[in-house]
Amino acid sequence: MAVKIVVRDITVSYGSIRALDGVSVELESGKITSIVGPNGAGKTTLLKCINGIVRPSAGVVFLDGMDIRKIKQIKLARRMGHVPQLPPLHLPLTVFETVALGRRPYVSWVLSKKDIRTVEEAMKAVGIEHLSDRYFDELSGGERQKVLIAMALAQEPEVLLLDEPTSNLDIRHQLEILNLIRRLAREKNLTVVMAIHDLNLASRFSDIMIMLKDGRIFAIGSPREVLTPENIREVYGVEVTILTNPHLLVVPIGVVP
Amino acid sequence: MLASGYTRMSKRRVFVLMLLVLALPLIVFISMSVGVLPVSPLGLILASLSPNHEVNPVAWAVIWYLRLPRALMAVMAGAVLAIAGVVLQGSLRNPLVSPFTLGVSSGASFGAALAIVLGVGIVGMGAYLIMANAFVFALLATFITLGIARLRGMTAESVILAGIAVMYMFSAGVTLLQYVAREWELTELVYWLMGDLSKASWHRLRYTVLAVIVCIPLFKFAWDLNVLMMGDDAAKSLGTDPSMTRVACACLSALAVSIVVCMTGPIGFIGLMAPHLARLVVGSDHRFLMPTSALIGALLLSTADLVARTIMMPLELPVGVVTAFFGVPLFVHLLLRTRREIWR
Ligand SMILES: Nc1ncnc2c1ncn2[C@@H]1O[C@H](COP(=O)(O)OP(=O)(O)O)[C@@H](O)[C@H]1O
Ligand SMILES: [Mg+2]
Repeated sequence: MAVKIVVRDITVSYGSIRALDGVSVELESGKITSIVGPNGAGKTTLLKCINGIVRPSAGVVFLDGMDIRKIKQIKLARRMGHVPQLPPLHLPLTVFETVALGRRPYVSWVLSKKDIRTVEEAMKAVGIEHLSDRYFDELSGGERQKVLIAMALAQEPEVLLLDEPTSNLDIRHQLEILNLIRRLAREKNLTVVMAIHDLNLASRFSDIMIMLKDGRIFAIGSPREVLTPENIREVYGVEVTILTNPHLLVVPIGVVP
Repeated sequence: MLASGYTRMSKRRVFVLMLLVLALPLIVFISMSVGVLPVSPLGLILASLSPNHEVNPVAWAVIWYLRLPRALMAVMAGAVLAIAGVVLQGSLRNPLVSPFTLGVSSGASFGAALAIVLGVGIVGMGAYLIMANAFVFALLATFITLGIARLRGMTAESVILAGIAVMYMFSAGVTLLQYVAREWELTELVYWLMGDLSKASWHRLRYTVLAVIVCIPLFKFAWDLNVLMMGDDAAKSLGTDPSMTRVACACLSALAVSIVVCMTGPIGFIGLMAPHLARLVVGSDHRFLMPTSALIGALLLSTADLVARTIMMPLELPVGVVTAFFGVPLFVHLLLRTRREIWR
């Protein structure tokens, strides 16, 4: 099935701060869309809007043509998984129990055989089988991030929203997780939207790139279209050279005075 | 099998639950046997069944009208306080929360003080005036707390802070009433404020059953409380409405605790202690944590009341004093001994 998300003209204000200002975008299934932009540009807020965690003061998010405000949160939870930017500081559960929280939208009391199987598969997919009986609080930052990705997968979502999924990982695990995300997007035809800081990884792993600046879309398109020295200078205030062989590579030169 | 650890843990938890369930009738039985007049309830029951045997009517009355209702009251009140404690700690994500955090106990105390000192009340007279007043003001305090918290979006912090403010307000009221009370009123009030089970009767037990029934729907929120551990945002994206869960848990538990407290007075520490002890034995999954807390609360209050009745025989202490004097050191000891941090 092909899920389509349409974000139409959303605006979010926290008090006097405009976190998002008239953002419109269409996201297609089977594609990875990455959101880039400096700190505070509104990446997290955009993901939260798509997930219905933050209600925009204006504008609408449609999931397959349906206004998400009209979809019950629990129904939405069966279709969308969200991996937050910050893992909880403290969670007194084992890894298995934590990933099993992803079954919350489906269970009423006991975990059925199918629930348990889904949890196991999710853990295998991100490669955390060996952590099953460890306590979440005793894990490293990267391990926690993987547990949360597994939890989102246990929701069996059609849409996967990831907020800086690689920020706590070493270079090997960054590649592993992004490969996994790409595989899931292809195999299960997932719609993947992720906020990510590393422009080089973003360019390698995304089909579409959205560049945010001050709550507005500054540029959108393929990584090659978006990652130009001009755009990066304008949005980040950094002078860069772009190499394109074999992969696109952003090489920072210096801060624009 | 990745789930084997989980399955093993679940089995262990069910086993712990069963042990606790078995311990309940035991403690009730002991409570019925021990006291100023030592009797064997079993012998009494056997005697009453055989036709040509004389039953000691005094022993019978002591057991049937005093000890049994009191033992059952301890079980149910303890369970209600513990359940309320665990759902409030969970929904407000704070280990310091007790059933009284919402202002229930101070509200009830103020209501009781009004009735005892000024004879002012809503309905009824005598003991019922005190009860009805305590109940009404306990609920009133809760609604004021939730009303204030609503203005701040019903976040966990707002509920806790509003509860503390309301608690101070009603406590000041109680202090004022103590100041103007006459000597015998003061004695009665102070005794009420300590909390005890000596007024248990079959009649009052009916209300306690009602309180237990009010707690049953709380189990529906076990999964919601589990995902709330992840924080409000994550809970929302997993399909739980955090503020709805908080309001439902707060209202139901406040109602149940108000029913109990208006009869027993504010018995402290059970509602704080039982959930933590339960976490030590079964972990934090609320599907296991809630029933375990309830059983531990029941056992704790039963034991405390047994101690209260017997430690200075023939004198009886209020059970609230016992839970504080013996419960707190025990609790601190257990908390300090545990290896793993259960709360941050
Ligand atoms: N809960 C909040 N309250 C007030 N301001 C917020 C809140 N969350 C985010 N903001 C503000 O909104 C803007 C966008 O934030 P965010 O979406 O987190 O950016 P990003 O994820 O791109 O770093 C920032 O200016 C931030 O300070
Ligand atoms: Mg962010």
